[in-house]
Amino acid sequence: MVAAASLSMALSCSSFLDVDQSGKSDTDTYFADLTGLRTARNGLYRTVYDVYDDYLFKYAETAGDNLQMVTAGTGTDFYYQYNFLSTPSLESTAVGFYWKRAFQIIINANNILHYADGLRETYPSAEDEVDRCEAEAYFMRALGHFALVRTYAQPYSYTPDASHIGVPVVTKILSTKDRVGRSTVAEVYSQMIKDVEAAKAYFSDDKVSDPYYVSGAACDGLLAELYLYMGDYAKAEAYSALAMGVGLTPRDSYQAMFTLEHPGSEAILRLTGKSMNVNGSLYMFYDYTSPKYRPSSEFYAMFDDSDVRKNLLRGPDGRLACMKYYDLIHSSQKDRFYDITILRGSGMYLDHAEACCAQGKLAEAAADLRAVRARAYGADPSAPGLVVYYGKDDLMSQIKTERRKELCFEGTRFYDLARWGDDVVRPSDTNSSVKELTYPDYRFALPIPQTEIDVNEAMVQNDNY
Amino acid sequence: MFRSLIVTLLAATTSLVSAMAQTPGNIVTGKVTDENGEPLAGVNVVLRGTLTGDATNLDGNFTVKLGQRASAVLDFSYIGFASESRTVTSGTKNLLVVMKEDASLNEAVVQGYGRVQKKENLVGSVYQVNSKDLENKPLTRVENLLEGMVPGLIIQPNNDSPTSVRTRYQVRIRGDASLSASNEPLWLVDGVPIYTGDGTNMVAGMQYTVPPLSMINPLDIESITVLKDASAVSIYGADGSNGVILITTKSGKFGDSPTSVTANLRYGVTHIDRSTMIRLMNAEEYMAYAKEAWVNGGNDPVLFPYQDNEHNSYSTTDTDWTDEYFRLGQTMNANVSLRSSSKVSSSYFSAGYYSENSTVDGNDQQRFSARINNSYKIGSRLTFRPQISASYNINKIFSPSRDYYENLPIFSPYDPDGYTLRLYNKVVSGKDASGNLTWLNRKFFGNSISERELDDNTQKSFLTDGNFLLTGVIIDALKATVQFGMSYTHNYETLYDSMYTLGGMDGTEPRGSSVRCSSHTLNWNNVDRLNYDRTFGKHHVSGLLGIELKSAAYRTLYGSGSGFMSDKEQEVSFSETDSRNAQSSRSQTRQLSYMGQAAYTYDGRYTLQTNFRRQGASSFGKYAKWENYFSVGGSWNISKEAFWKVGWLDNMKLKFSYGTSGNSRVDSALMKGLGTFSYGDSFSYNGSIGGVVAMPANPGLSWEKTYMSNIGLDFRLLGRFDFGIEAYYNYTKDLLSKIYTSSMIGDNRIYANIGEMSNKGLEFTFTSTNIDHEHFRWMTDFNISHNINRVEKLADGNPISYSTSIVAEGHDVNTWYLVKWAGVDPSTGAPMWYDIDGNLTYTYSAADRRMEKSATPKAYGGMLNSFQFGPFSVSLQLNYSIGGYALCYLASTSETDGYSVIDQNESVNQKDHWRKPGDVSSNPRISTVSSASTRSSTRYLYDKTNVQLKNLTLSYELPQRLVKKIAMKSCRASVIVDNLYLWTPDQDPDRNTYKQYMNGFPVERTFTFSLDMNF
Repeated sequence: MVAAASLSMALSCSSFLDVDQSGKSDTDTYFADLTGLRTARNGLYRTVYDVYDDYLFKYAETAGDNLQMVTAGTGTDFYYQYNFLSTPSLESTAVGFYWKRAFQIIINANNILHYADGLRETYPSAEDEVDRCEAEAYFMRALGHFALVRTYAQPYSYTPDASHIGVPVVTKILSTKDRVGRSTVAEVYSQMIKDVEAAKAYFSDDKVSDPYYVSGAACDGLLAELYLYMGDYAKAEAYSALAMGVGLTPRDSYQAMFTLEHPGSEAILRLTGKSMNVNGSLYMFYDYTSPKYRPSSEFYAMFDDSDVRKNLLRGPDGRLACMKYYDLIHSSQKDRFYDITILRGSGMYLDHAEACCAQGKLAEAAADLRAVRARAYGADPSAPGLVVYYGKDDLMSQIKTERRKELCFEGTRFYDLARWGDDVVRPSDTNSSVKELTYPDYRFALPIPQTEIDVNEAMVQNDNY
Repeated sequence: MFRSLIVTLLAATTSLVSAMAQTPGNIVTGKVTDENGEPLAGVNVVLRGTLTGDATNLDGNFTVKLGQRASAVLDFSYIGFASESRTVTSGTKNLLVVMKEDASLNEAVVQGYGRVQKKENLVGSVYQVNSKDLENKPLTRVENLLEGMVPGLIIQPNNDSPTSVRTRYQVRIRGDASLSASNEPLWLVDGVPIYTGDGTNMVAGMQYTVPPLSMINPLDIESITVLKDASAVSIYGADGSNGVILITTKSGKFGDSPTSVTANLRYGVTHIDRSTMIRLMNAEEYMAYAKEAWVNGGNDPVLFPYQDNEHNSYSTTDTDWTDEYFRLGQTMNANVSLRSSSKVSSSYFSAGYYSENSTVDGNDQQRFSARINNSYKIGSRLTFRPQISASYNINKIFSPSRDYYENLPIFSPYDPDGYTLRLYNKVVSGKDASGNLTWLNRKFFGNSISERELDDNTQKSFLTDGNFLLTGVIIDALKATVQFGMSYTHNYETLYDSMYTLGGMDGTEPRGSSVRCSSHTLNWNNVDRLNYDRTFGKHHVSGLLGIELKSAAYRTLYGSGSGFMSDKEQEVSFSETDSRNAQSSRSQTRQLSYMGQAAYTYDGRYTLQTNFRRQGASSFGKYAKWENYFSVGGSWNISKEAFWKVGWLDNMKLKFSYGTSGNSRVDSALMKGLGTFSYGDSFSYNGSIGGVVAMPANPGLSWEKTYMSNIGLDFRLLGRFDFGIEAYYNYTKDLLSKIYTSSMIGDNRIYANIGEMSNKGLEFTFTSTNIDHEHFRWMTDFNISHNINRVEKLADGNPISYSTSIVAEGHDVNTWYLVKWAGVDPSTGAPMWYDIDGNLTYTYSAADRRMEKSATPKAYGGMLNSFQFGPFSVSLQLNYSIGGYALCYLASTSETDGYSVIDQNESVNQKDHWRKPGDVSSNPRISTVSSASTRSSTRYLYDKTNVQLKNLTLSYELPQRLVKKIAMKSCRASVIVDNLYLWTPDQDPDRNTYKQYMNGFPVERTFTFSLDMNF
């Protein structure tokens, strides 16, 4: 009888062999309910935070012209990028990891997009929530591609129609046998625009409701940036104008945007490091007590003493240090955190200024510049001497400098230089082996990691690597 | 072709024998019968010292010509019967010889799932060790019992560092068969799979592992059977590729026999075999050495840290730290068992207590065990067998780790008051502005004696096994059995760092810190089977059909806290709230299998056996949840053929098998082939928990499969020498191995069934009764095994290198990957290596690593000699291992060329170091600054060859008249010595060699007095 019972149990319940393991779940099961979707959404935001924190923010500065390395040595973070010595085989440095991690943004976003339809069907009452997650996943997928195309390909303007080689466009969950090659830069941008527009369709307005999550304004802001990179100034002007609705954080709470727990009124999209229980890697990178890199003294000298932004370039010990990622409120390691700024009002003002200037709308451009400077210097925006320019080129050059000063250490500098086709000119006392990198140069793009070349027959290496 | 060759050979031999039998001379005639008086046909009768003889005819009659001899000895041998010999004189007529069945050949060999086979009918490679062979072995843990006794099986410590006194052992049967999955065999007790830890025998959820096999009382074991080839393991399917070890416990038999009681009492004293202890510098040698290294390191001799002061008198202290950590150990055992039986019931009951105080002070093991194995006949057709056992184990653990050889001899364990355990040493830290020495109290972390005395590290484990079998006879030859078995272990670990030890302090503030761990494992299985067994005339048919459900699960719980009021209260609930931390985990795997076996024997000559198992496992995904395993095997008992007339060579059997087995012990999430998400704190955002892709979907992964072939030849020479030769070739395909893939998939390293590995080898066993005299018997058991492991294929052919080892195609899986050491430059004392091109270099570079020797021994085995003269018996077990190399942990940590000398003592080998140009030395110039010389290289590679006198037992059987007076049936007193001697070819009275560096701790030698009594 026992035999019969167990036999029938074995035969009838094929589920006897279905066992759950803790801490891990197969993807189908994971996305079978809304909890899975919600945690996947958190995981996606976290992945973006980590990629920006570990790679994007560091690469955009170490390859740029604002920093000085403290202890020279191959063991120091981003040594190879600071000295433009990247090779395909540097798998365990930024070359390999940035590539791998940025794809994880795309892969996690694609998983959410893949399961969204099914969840909408199963939970009709949660349609709005699913739609929202879907919109965010589109947005993040664009950010993932944006990180990759700016890092592993030459800028959009490298060829007149951006037909040069870009990065792979991945819009679905790949199987282990799939191999994707590189699309052209134009194709990558067109996919990113499509993704951000898909995200924007969800949001009913162009406002920010919570700066720690994607919003209508964030879509506008990212579109403005994308069009600026593409040199489509009319569209860049239009979208940045929409995102500028947030205005600028007042001067007296400017520093608090970085060092105190205060996102600032101009925040469009920030990623919070709160409750992570770990110090992010930018903290270690710039920690004023033992930084890996410090702002160069020549860069520091560019700031006027009245410039509120200058206060973020010195540590409490009086030495040069980037203080944008140093929490001054919380002393315990567990509570200490900082935010990663992806889009903020000042950036939009400068995007708008640049777009207008490029189109010859100099007065509009100057007005944006004036607003940014007035806040920085604590000056009256209408003061006549605040913005003085001699023609379009001069104004453009001032806008570029202002952008460098405003958004320093926020993950834009090297990408901006490449976008403008400007040379990287290091401070005269630089300890990098490369004093100057003249555009164009193959080193404006990192090499594709060697394993990717080895295992992916569709993959092509960048020239000269 | 092979067969015809054999036949030709045999024919040639037989004609030779018959040709010799033609010699004229005196004739002896006689008849051979079995114990029932039935004539035996085909018995070999050989004239000792010649090849002459005869074979009995159908009536059992024989005729032998003695030639010129007046008298001679005739040897009678017959398959399945014990050999006999008779002294005859010329003209002897009608000699009657009665032969008895030979127990050794009819020995029942357990094969699992209710199958028991006579040894002579085995087709596979199955080796059984019986209780008789185990009775004088150490009782600490079961796996060690098999050391040196089973061909093809190696047992060795998991590592050679002194990290754990309860060393995990790795058991390998015929080599490693996997790269990613476990290489440990499956252990079953009475058909129930037991928990032996994870893939490397680590117990889940515990901070310190106490080997689960130490919880079984070895005295309850009737036999241990090791299954090695396809015909034996394929019925275990995906659990079989590493071999299977079946433990059968003692039980009663039906029949009317009076109640018998057996008692075993043992007391043993254990001490360290000093010759195997690492030899260290004494205080004087240390001081001279340290000062030299200090100055060579460019330091000011005035600032040498160890200068006498009121707290430390360095110049007069000479502590032998090994005395502080090792002690005289002892073992105690008391075991009583009771058997009783009637025609309808039988019972076996045993209760045992075992305790061991290890020579490493602070380590105690206690085991309380009990077992009841009963059988009941219900009516004429049903039998019910409940088997229940329980064991409660208390283990107190303390690991001195490296302290016993690293602590400086110039430090005393105690403060100047002579009894307070020392926490600090006062050392020179520098000079102040006016040139006076400044001092510093440096924490003395190495003085772990205070931890041993004050801390708590205790594990209490409860193991209980229950096994219930109900067998019904359907028709005579067909039986149905339902078996339900379970094995449950609960471990509870308490760890406490006292607030008076450095570990329990925060800075100088006493805090105390406590950890509590709990785990329970539950393995159960249910087997429903039909067994068929019948003989029709010359045909013997047997079969098995069955289904098995199996589950293995564990749950763990961990809690910790620090900040206590005093050491009196150590429970986590009394620690500071903020400091508390808790974790838990669980795991479960299930299997469902269908199995079948059919065997056919014709006339005791030809046997053919096939096995089949279809197995599903929860570990595997929908793509490969089910897998089939099969085997075929056969044997040919050549000596039973009518044409077989070779008198001196009897009982010759040829066997072969081929089949498949698998390995289910892989990461189950991985094998599902589905993509997985991980969730937890590390993916949280804005204070809410998050999840990310952990592993991309990787469909199509399949089970690792081992194709096993085995051939064997068993024969008996001159009726007293048994030989067994086996050759095997195991080829594992679809090994799981990580390969690189595109980063766009989700992870740029994924698993693929890409690897292939082979093990081929030879095993040889020899059993002989050298002397079989009425008053004196000498028997020898010898075995030797040789295995060649070869990685056949890896992903893209790329080797996988680790810091000191490499897995590469065409090489042994345990190949060292090291820079080759070139010795010391006599002119400068600088260390030298060979670079990758073989040129001398002074710079160490990991890029110069090369594939070096492997860790796998060339040959290994054991030899047991037993002697019996009257009431006395002596047995000597000798184990040996030849070849193979070890990268000795003790060598690399105790020979640092002065680099660590301020913090640790060094091996005496370091005394031989370079001092001045022209010195030819084995160690370089010593200095506190350079450490390149101590980086992993062939410098620390040692030949593992060794011979061990493992066990010597002297027993005396008390005379019956005496025994009867004290109401006993029999009584035996024995003296047992374990680990009598260790020999290595490189041993040297003045230096440390492999003999001292072999394991993390020196060898323990035990002298035990044992009393076995039967009532």
